[in-house]
Amino acid sequence: MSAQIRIAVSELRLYLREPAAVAATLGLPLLIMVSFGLIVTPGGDPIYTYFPGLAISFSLAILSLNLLPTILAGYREKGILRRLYTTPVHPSKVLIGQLLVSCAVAVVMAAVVVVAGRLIGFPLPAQPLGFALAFVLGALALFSVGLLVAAIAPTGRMATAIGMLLFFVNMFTGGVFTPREALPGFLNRIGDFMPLGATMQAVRDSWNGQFPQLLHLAVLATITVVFGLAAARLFRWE
Amino acid sequence: MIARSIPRKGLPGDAFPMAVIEVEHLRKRYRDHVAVDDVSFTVERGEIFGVLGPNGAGKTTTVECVEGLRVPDAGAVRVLGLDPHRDHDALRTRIGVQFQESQLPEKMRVREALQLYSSFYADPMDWRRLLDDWGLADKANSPFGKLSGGQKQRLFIALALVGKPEIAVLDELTTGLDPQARRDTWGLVEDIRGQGVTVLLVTHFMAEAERLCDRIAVIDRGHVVALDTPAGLVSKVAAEQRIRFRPSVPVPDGLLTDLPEVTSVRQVGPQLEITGTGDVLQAVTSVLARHRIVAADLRLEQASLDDAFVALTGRKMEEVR
Repeated sequence: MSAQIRIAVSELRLYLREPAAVAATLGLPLLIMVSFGLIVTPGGDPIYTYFPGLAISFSLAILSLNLLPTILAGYREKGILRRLYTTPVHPSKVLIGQLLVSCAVAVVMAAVVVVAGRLIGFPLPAQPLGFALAFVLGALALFSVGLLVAAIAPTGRMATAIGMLLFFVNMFTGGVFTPREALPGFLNRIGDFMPLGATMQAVRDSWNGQFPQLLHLAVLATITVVFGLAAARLFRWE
Repeated sequence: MIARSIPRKGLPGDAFPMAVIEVEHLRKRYRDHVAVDDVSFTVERGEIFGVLGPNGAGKTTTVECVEGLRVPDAGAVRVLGLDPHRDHDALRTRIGVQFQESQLPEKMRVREALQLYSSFYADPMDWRRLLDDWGLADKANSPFGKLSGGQKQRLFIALALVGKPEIAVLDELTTGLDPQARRDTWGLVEDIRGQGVTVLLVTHFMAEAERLCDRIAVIDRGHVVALDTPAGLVSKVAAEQRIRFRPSVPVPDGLLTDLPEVTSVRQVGPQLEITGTGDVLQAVTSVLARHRIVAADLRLEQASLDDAFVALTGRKMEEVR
């Protein structure tokens, strides 16, 4: 087994040992689908797509804006990355390992949402290709933002604080806390350009059968490239 | 420097087999201050070499240049004949490092940490053996966050050794340990050397340097102020010695003060306190014997490495912390 895979497996094990992390990223999406699936009658009015959108967006936001920056900045603060720099394995492997775990959790989460939703009575995403595209681009954009936070935050606590701020701003403007339908137009306009808002809307559109708006996909792709490159440039191992 | 000017015999292709670390006129400044001004020393294969000095003296910066974590502003560093920064990839498999205040993820278990780090090396030590050797076998399944200070320190030493390094750099390895754990750790460092590993030991504990090191570079304010064996350092500065005893009969005036070795004689209650240099004890006792005076409760106060540090830097170790 390569060092990269061993590190990823190790990171996965550490993730699974954090009950709060597992509950927020896998448990809560499942709970959202099951509970709202029982309360509302999915189908018909496209408002029902709010619930799978909420489950997916919330979990991605926790993974990318909370866990990723807190863990990576914490590793740097604790000297774990620096220590690795003196071994034959470059510390970037920890960063990649952490990203691999985040991607794996995200994929499992999306599968849980789709399957549990189907079992409880939600329709499957009506535009599967668009859904896959919205999900992948949304996850990449959000992870890029999280990596940039980890890159620029001087301490683990600062990374958590910045991440939480971004989390709430994104949840609020993105139509995740409250459905887009209930928000004023100017907030929705802002949300269109936020990583979580664009993800939320693209997921909802595809679930309802429309191909995601080009605007949202373009916003997500741009954020991925710009924030991803900035994070790669600015990331410090110590 | 010596290694360059004096040809040494050695294996073909290994120009200087004895010197494994060479630091020459190292200089490193940070934005606001000069951390290392002019540091030179050579570490020979198989020795425990101490870098001793108060906090902020430039010790850690010096070893970080040796580890390749920092690039010197001036001067040269060679480790195993390699440039630590340029040849970092080649060197990383051959040195093992323990940092000051290292940590691991709280929930990573001892066994997992050793297993993971051993997978980084092409020819690692058996991590199960390291568990036994370092007294961690019964802690194999404990998470890092639940270990005591001594157990953490042993784990980090084990991690520094898992790649079978030729050089182990140990930075402040007993800071924060209780006296018993500290003593235990010293024994373990001697074991490392026993396995043929060269040890570069950074410390601000006099007792630690005195006990462990073959040679010590004393660093203060970015300079090497002395480089010698512990005994050599002490003898260099131990010019002044103090003898105390209770004479059986009063000592006539001038009997001791006339001795060239004696600098002062003082009556302290029933006792005489004599300070002097060189072989003052021998001189005093032979004069007393000649005059049939018995020196009861005779005590000789000798200099320690602590005194050596004061003499070398003009400051006490505690004052500069």
